[in-house]
Parts: sequence; structure tokens; C-alpha cells
Amino acid sequence: MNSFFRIFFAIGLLSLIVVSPIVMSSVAIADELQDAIAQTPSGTEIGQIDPNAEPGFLGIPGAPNPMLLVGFLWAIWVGWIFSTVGAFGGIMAGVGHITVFGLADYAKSFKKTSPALNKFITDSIRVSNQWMVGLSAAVSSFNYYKMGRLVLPLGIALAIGSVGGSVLIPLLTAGKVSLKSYIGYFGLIVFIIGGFLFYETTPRGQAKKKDAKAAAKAFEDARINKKEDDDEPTEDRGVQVTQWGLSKISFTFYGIEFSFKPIIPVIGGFFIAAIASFLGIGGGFLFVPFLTSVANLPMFLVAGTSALTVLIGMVISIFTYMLIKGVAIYWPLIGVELLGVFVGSMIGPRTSKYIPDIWLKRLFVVLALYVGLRYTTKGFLGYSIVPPF
Amino acid sequence: MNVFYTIYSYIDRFLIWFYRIAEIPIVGYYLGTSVLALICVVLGHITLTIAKTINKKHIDSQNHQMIKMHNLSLYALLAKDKHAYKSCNKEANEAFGKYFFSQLAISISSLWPIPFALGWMQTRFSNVNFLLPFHIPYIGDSVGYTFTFIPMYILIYILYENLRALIINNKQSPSSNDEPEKMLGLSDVFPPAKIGEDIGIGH
Repeated sequence: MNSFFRIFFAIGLLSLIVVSPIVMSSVAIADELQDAIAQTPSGTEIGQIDPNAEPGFLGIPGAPNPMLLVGFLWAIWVGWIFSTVGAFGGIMAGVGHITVFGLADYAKSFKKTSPALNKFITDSIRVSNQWMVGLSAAVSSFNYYKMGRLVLPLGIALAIGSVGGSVLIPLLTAGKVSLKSYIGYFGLIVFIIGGFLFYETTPRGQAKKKDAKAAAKAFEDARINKKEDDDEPTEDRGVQVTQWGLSKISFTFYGIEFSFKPIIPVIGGFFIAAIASFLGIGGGFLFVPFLTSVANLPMFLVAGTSALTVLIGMVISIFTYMLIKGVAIYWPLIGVELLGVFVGSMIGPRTSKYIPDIWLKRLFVVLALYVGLRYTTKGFLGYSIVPPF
Repeated sequence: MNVFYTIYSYIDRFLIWFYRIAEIPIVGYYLGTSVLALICVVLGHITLTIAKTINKKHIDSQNHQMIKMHNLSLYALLAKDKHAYKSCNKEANEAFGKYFFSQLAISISSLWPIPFALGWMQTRFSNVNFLLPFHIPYIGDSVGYTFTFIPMYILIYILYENLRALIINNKQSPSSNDEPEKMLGLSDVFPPAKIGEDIGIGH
């Protein structure tokens, strides 16, 4: 990539990161939380705040102090997932913030006595999820750029599509979503993802995978036996669009014909970004299969551009949350979690050789089923149908 | 949080010293923040080096699989074998997914000092507002401590990496016993197009 694009990328990325914290006025943050606390009745009962109690989460008097050891151990689990299966790590991080650290139950206690505080804590949980993944997406994108695997114009085009979802959803939902609803929707999305994972473990899903593997192996073997001169360069270069239409776009890519429905990438890109910013999960693992199955793009185009799309979506979402609603972050918990992810990522490679891929996926299907059932029922019915009830 | 406040109170005296070197408060603030950012960069680099060294074999094998399948997909394009292209591309994306998230986890290892630094800064500077040159709607007239720390961290990181490259002649050893396979681009597999002939996506 020439020096112009390098400079452009460096300045663009730096600007995005500078702009994000530039709008985090500490005055706004303090006012929002203090207003919510002021609206909460004082006392020692559930749903009340004892002003003389020790400050806990977000500095709220009497709030639970998420045990840092619990956070660290949970983050080891998240790091292990990242380095073995790959995806699903963001969901586990979200589960940690919601359930494991006791923050959900604390937020829920204010549902009737102080809805403002309930919603404030919900937003803080969502943004805490994103900070962790957003920081890492930043480093990954920069690494991909250095390796020359990032096609900047394509990445920007994809990112623009995700900005719509990333901006609108926080604007529309920040401060308006109760923890109960958030948990319910979180559970639904986990169900859907679990469904995709489950399909991959079924004989049909496995057959498709085996077919792809066998075809790739056959081509590799055939190529080894082929003479070098047998591959003649094609006359059809690059992308040639052969049909434009609202219902279908066909193109040839180096002589091979592909087609897709244009409405799918528009809606898909919007919804993936919307889900990512609503739930606080990265969305990166949804973009890669989306781009390859819809547009059949070569991997090297998908890889770096999806990392950049995730990054920009994250930055915009966090920027918007911080800007509009002044959400505070519990920094020590994030730091301990990052350390835990580091430890988990060290352990993962050592265990992955003993656990086949399909059993890892089956493990996550069971987890997805459990998390989906628990959160969906707790969110929409008010009680969980799986323990702990 | 109490545990961290205890830790912060021990390191506070050390960190605040840098902020008090200069007589002009704002200069002292930026000097102290630069030192804090440098400490974060160095600590992050140490853990990143440990992570990369320990996981080198695992990451290299994921990378190798990704590159191998991607290159095969390009050769399938050259041979106009759509089924082989889609299959190899699918395998390449599967391998990319694992490689991407492994890299994500390792990248995190370099960033862990940042939240702790911001947590300490929150204890000292949470009520300090930096006035903006003009009023911005929805933002107001001032910003907080994170506005200064994060850009400073990025600048210090870039300077540190460039300085390190100058001082230490860092030669990377081959990732495997054989010469590592290089990821091909479209222009490596297909001959360069004539000007105006290629609509083109790619490098």
C-alpha cells in the first residue's frame, strides 16, 4: 500500500480514537449518575441506597463490589474461548457482566424504586462489554493494515453501512432499555447463534463441511500433480458486473459467475451492527460468515475489512453512548478481565489439541441453550426455567 | 474496588511525582500523563512478547492453514473451478476466524495496563475539566481525563515502536522449519491488467 494510504489510515484511526474520548465530559458523567442516585430512595432495604455505605460498582454507595477474583477467573474462560473456538467469547464476556458479577440482580433491585438507575447500570454493562472488544479490534485492524490485508475503500464502505446501526441504536435505546428487556433480547440472540452452531454439528452441517474440506484437499492434490504452465491466465479480470437489479446483482469475479440479492448486505450489515451496539457484543463473528456467504468475497478481503468494520462500529457506539448519556466505566474490572483473557489465551492453545473441534462446538451449543433459556425466560417471563431459579 | 484503592494509594505517591515536576500545572499534567502512558506501553509490550513467544507454534499453524487455503482459493479462481474456489475460501475463512480471535486475545495482553491507569487517573482527575476552544452541542464546553490519556498513549506507543526498531535490530526467525508460505494477492496470481481493463477489487 502506498504511503498516502498509510498516512490516511493512521490519521483516520487516530482521529477516530481521539474523537471518542474527546466527548467524554466528566461533568456529564457525574451529573447523569448523581441524578439517578438522587432519584433513588434512601435506606437499607432492597431497591434503596444507603448513603453511608461503602461505595461499590460505579461508586454507588452500597453497590456490589464485583469480586475481582471472580472477574479474573471468568475472563480466563473468555480468553480460553477466544483462542480455541474463536467466536462466542464476546457473549461469554457479556454473561460475566450480567450474571457472574451480580450486577444484573443489583440493577434489577431498582426496577420499581429507581428506573433511571436501573437503566443507567444496564447501559454501563453494555458499554463495558464493548470497551474490552473494541480495544482489541483496534490493535487487530492496525496489524492487518501493516500486513497489507486491508482494502481501505472496501472497509470504509462496509463501515459506513454499520455506522447507521451503531449510531441509531444507542440513540434510540440508551437509557430506555430496562435490564429485564436487555436480558431477554440477549437470550434470544444467544438462541439464534446457538442454532447456527447446532446446525454445524448435525450430520447435514458436518456433511457440508466435509464436502468443502474434501474439495479443497482434492484441488490441492490435483494442483501438486499439475504442471506449472497448465494454468493459463484468464482474460476476465477483476469484477465485471453482468446484471444490475433490485432483486439480483450478478457479477463475474475473474471469470467465475456469482450473484446476490442487494437487499441482503444492506439489511444484514445494518442488523449486525445494530445487534452489536444494542447488546454490547462485537458482531465480528457475524460479519465474516455474512460476507463470505453473501458476496463470496476472497478471505483476504473479508478478514481485514471485517476487523475494521467491527472497530469502527465499536468506536461509534461507545462514542454515542458516552456522548449522549454519559455512561461511567468501572475501570478496575475491565483491567482484571483483560489480564484474565491473556491468561486464558495462553491456556487455550495447550488444550485445543486434546479437544476436537466438533466437541468444542457441542459444548458451546449446550452453553448457548442454557444461557438462551435462562436469559430469555428471565427477561420476558420474569423467572428462569433453568437453575438457579 | 477497596483493594484497588489500596493499591492506588501505594503507587499514587510515585505516579503523582511526575505530575509535579513542572511548575506550570498543565505542563506537569501532560508530562505526568506521558510517563504514565510510557509505563503502560512498556508493561504491555512485555506481556505481549511473553504471549507471542509462548503461543508462537499455535498461532503459526493457524496462520499457515489460513494462508494455504487462501492461496489455493486463488489458484482455483485461476483454474475457473467455482466449487474448489468456494470450498477453499470457506476453509480459509474458517481458519481466519480462529486466527483472528487468537490474535485478538493476544492483542489484549498488550492493553491491560490502560484500564488500571485510567482507574488511577479517575481517583485524581475525575473532577478536572479541560475546556474546549468552543461549545459543542451535546458535549458542552469541556472534556475529561480520558481525552488526554488515550491520544497520549497512542503517540507514545508509536514513538516507542519506532525507537525500538531503531535500537534493536529485530530479525524475525522463520515460523516453521520450511520457508513460510506467503499470502498471495490477486495480482500475484493473475498477470497485471492493462490500464482501464480491470474494475478490480484487491490490492
